[in-house]
Amino acid sequence: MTVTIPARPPWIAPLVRMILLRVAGMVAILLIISMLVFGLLYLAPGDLVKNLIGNRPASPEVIAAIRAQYHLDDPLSLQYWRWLTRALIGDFGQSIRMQAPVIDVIASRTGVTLALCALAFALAVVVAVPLGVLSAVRPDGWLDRSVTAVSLVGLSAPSFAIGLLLLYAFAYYLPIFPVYGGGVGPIDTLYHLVLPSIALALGLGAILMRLTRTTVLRELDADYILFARARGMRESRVNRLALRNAAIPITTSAGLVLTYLIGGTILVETIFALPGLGTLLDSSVLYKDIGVVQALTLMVALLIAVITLVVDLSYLLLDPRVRAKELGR
Amino acid sequence: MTNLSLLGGRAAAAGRRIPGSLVVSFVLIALCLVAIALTPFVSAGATAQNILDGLLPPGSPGHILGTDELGRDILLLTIAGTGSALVGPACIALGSMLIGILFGSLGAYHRGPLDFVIGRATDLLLALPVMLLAIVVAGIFGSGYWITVLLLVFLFSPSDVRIVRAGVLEQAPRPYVEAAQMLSLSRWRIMFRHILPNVLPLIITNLLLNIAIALVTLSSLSFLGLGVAPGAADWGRQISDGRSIMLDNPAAVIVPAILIIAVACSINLIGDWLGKVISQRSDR
Amino acid sequence: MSDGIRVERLSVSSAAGIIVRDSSFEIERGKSLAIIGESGSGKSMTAKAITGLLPGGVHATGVVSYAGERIELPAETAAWRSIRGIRAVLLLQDPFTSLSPVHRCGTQIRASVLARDELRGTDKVGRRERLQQADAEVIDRLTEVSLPARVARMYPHELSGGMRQRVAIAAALATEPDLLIADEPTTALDASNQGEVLDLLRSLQLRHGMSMLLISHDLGLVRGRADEVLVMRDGEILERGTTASVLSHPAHDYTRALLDASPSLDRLRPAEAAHDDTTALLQVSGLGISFGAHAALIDVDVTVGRGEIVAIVGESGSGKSTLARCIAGLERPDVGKLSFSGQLLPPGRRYRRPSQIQIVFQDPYSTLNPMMTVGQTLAEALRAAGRGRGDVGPLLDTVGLDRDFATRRPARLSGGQRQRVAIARALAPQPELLICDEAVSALDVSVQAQILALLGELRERLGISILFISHDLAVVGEVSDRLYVMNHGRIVEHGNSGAVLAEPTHPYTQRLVAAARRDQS
Repeated sequence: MTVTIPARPPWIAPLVRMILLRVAGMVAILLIISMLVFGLLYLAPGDLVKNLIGNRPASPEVIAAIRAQYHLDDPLSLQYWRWLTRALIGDFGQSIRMQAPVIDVIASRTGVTLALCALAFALAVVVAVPLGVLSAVRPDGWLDRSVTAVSLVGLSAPSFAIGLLLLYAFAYYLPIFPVYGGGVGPIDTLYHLVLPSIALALGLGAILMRLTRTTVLRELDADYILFARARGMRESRVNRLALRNAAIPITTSAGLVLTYLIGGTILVETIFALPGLGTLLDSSVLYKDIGVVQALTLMVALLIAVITLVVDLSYLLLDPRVRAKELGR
Repeated sequence: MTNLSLLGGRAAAAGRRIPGSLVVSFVLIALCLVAIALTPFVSAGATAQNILDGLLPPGSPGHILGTDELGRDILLLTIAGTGSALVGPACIALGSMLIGILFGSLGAYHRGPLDFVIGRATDLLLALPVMLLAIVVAGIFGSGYWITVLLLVFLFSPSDVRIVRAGVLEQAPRPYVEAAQMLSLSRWRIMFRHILPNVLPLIITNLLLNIAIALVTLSSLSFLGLGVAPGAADWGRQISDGRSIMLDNPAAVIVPAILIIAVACSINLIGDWLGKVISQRSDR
Repeated sequence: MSDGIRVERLSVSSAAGIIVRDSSFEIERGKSLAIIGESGSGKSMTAKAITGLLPGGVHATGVVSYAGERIELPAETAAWRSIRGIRAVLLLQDPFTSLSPVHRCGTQIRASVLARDELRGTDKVGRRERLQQADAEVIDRLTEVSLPARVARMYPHELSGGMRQRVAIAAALATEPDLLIADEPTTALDASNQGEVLDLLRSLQLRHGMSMLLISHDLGLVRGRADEVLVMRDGEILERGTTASVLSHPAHDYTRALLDASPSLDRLRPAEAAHDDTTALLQVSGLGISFGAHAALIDVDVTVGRGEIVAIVGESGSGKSTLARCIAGLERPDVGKLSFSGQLLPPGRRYRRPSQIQIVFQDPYSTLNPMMTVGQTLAEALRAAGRGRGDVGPLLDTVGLDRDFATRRPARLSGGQRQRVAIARALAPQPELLICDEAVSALDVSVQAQILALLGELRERLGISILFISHDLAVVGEVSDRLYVMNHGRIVEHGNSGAVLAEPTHPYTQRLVAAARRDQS
């Protein structure tokens, strides 16, 4: 009996082509976003020059200086080009509110936000994924029921409401944690970040938990699990088989829900008065400090584009079927 | 075939058995609707400022939940804020769903260049988180309750377009749709009589989910001082204003915070249940 | 009887009712028993019950003894530890889902080897050495099922269905069980693969001295592949006997009906010369279509005369369904001409009338809109042809359904009933040509026979032409006047059905016919 087996097609060239295509798409989207972001300055209500001057006295000399500094008399396309080339090397101009270069203002605030997001993400993953797996292994058990109920709250509640309740319970009513502020030194900072990161992690964890639960449930229901049991494989090995299959959607969506943190961090930082990027964005928007808003928006867009690309590539790494589909032709 | 009737009976029974959490959800939403109906009668009292009565703790005579620093009654203020917590989100979810159905089904069913344009436009809008876009746009271009609602309709619609499109694409190649094509039925009829009814469970569940998300987003914006005008009755605003008096009258913050959470949970529970009921309907 | 498998008073039930009722049977060591039954007979649940693998909500009672080791049902999970993988292994129907998609085939076979060594306590050596030994054994196991060693490094999705089922067989046998239970092991495979895989199972069973429980819906397939046959219907055992005696002298009426209903190459339709001089209703010439780099149809010519039943036969991927869809206007061919009643038929649905061509699809479960009642579905089809709602009743009569079906939704109909509704919908515009795209392949044999009879009757009564697309040579032989054989997008042979099936000239047709004959005699 002769059996013909298809040969493996080459994969390096298609991989490179695929990455290049994705990067090109990413750059295209970022370019359009950058145009919209640049447009903010012109579309914002009120007088452009006044917006740029801020609180300084508006004498004709100052106005002339501002017009020259920002090249406001040049054609719009030239202004955009100049702004974009500067933005690419990190020069977003001056913050009118802080009277300092935008990039420095942002740099000084990044640490807190990064620490908060990293802590919240780690907390969510470490707690939610095991809980999701456990409740899928025993669906409708007491653990499943209680975890599902908690995750409903996590999914539904805005992080600022959770944050405030936590603040009232554990900072005012039971004064265990500090009320607000970022803290000094690493230990103190961590101490200050406990409540905020819990508030931020709850929603993220709820999403991850639900996702893990559904995915693992679906995989445990698959034929290959039945066949593994039918061959006498130990239950722990059978579960491992399901987890390896479930790992693909869980890992990739864990990457995608990172973007959820961006919206949440703005609110949580405001509640706990943390000097991070979220509060910076909030106050810059209120003061119409457009340079800072532009820089932050572009940063977020870039971040999300990179996350999406990494998620796509991780699919290739984890799932041989996707590998065959994307690289096989 | 005796099994079939048994199965049908069981499915019907499962559909009729309503868990306690769902009953609580329906009661809460019903209470909210009553509160909205009462708004015209309480709004005068809710916004009446009386500095002399300022900062009364909960349980004070005449003010069960106390007052804020301007002397506004927290209970009345909370009741008056119900409308802004539910009406706007319902409009946002409905509006974005209509846009989703329109563009999602157009794109999926006709394919071609229109689909490409719709697809890239949604990609672009989904490249940034809704919350960030809402803050930037509402913050810089000015806000107001209904302007923010309109903005959120626009920002919510790309994900609805995607969901409807995916749902239609899943149904379109099925034999029952092709059979309808064989009868030379109009595209319009195939879409509305055949495809969309089968995407409906998905659309309804998503609609309810979106009301909850819109409630959360809208109240978050109010909390940040974007959205409603200062002094207006709104739960998010109330939480933001109440933070400074949390020690004197915790109810000013805790009551609206818990209400937002409870209402959002209820809507999600009802949405899950409704989705199940609708998809069971076709099994009977 | 101590070293065989004995099942006593097995009953399986769920909340929906009883699935298997008080069944007892035994299999001697080294023998093979086939359980035959249509869907809903409880044959698969029997297999799952005796390995403790019933789905949630389904319960079993009774006693199973494996070589004297008694298990009283329902049993704890722990009780199956000494059974699964040692005493019995269950091989599943669908090779596309029974292997983990993200693990290499070799790893999955190795998992069986490791599980076996662990269960039998023979894994005394170190971990590294154990893995090396297991890897070497994986190659042997692959050789045993006629697969090259390099399959061990491949993922299931890189293999065809037949090869995947071979990998699954290797994984099942690697545990060296006393009993191999194969639940419809070839139903998901192409006809030419089916026989090979079943023969492989039989030869492995004999070589290893295993017992085998073969579960199938097809009486013909077990001929020569099982020592004994057991026929089940609605959860009850109707008869049991040696394969030869049951097939030649069935004791029970149902078995006889099953045998009569299963189409056979020995019962070809007599060729009707009358159709030779009919005018062509449909003429397809030079049809071609490609999807990307894959050419699905290449230079296809087909003619269907008025009142004729013409069949297109081919295996999956041969392009036969694409051809049907091009004719129906659901797919636009790249090149070629279609003419209908002497007039040019444009590609696509746009300029076509419902009264020209209608089509009945394969899957009875998605062929009807689940949200519409049967009456609504038929009324819509009637209205599309300018007929009134009042014709719904007569239409239901035509396809042999009671008129009160009009108020039901598809979920309350069986597969055969749905397919009848689909035929009624297709007949509503009174089409001149009816295309049946694998319209009976998803149905049980007895239902299949009824639908085939209905089609023949429709042709007699309405004079309708039928283009019958199928992978099943026997079905085609029974129903069609002429046939076309397709392979890789080309028509390789055509002619009078009886003549082609009796004396195929093209090597591909010869192979198909040979495979079909071997399965039946």
